[in-house]
Amino acid sequence: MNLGSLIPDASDWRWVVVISVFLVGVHAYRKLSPYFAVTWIGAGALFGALWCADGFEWPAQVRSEVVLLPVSLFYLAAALTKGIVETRDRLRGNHFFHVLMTGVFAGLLGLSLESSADASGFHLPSFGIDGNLLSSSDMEIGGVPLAVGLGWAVAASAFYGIYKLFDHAGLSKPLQTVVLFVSMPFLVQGVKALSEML
Amino acid sequence: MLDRFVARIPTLLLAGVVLLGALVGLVGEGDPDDLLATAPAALLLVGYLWAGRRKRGGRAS
Repeated sequence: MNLGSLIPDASDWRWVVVISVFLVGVHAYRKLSPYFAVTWIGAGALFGALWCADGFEWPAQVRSEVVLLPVSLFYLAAALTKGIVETRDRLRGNHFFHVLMTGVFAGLLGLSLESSADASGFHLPSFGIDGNLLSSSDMEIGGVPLAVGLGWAVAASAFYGIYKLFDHAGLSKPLQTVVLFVSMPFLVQGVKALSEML
Repeated sequence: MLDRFVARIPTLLLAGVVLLGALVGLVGEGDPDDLLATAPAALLLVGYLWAGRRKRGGRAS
């Protein structure tokens, strides 16, 4: 059997992204709530679209399904955080730690995904990290600059933090939904500004 | 049955990320260095599985 045939090329990544978002939707729907599933995927897709369009690098080869990638990666990082953190009683309910660790895990996952995607010709837009301390150094893991992982970490922490903030602010569901979606453009700009500062 | 599958979705997704990175690094057109970029995700998978086992109280005495 030729193992090389199992590796997705750029067009196969559409299915990788779609299947992962579907699985995320099923998990969120069954384990949390239909409301959570819809708002997470909706707000994540909006974040992804703005991430791709709003002033970030947009190489010609970037494919449209890339806008759904943050939905899966952020959710996976948050789910892993919950799974790992909940084994420690004193960390249960510590929202700040959850958000922070989600960022760390998203950064680690981002390094692997960026590496695989790049090798398959599936190009991702950058988080606009340039001209700063991290990217000007040559620090990298397996050919992926650490700044790329940092970009995913900042983005995931910001997204999950905002979602948690509105979820625990005592807003009604309709108002929470509106505020969440309206905040996405500001969140993307904030992530970009923060990434450039680091 | 469905609930058991749903509970394993994060593990499946994480295993998929690790598998993809390993395939690309070992047999793909990527550099073997790609394996290094996948190492943190692989460690995360090990940690997550360990935490799940601990949560279920299935640790061997």
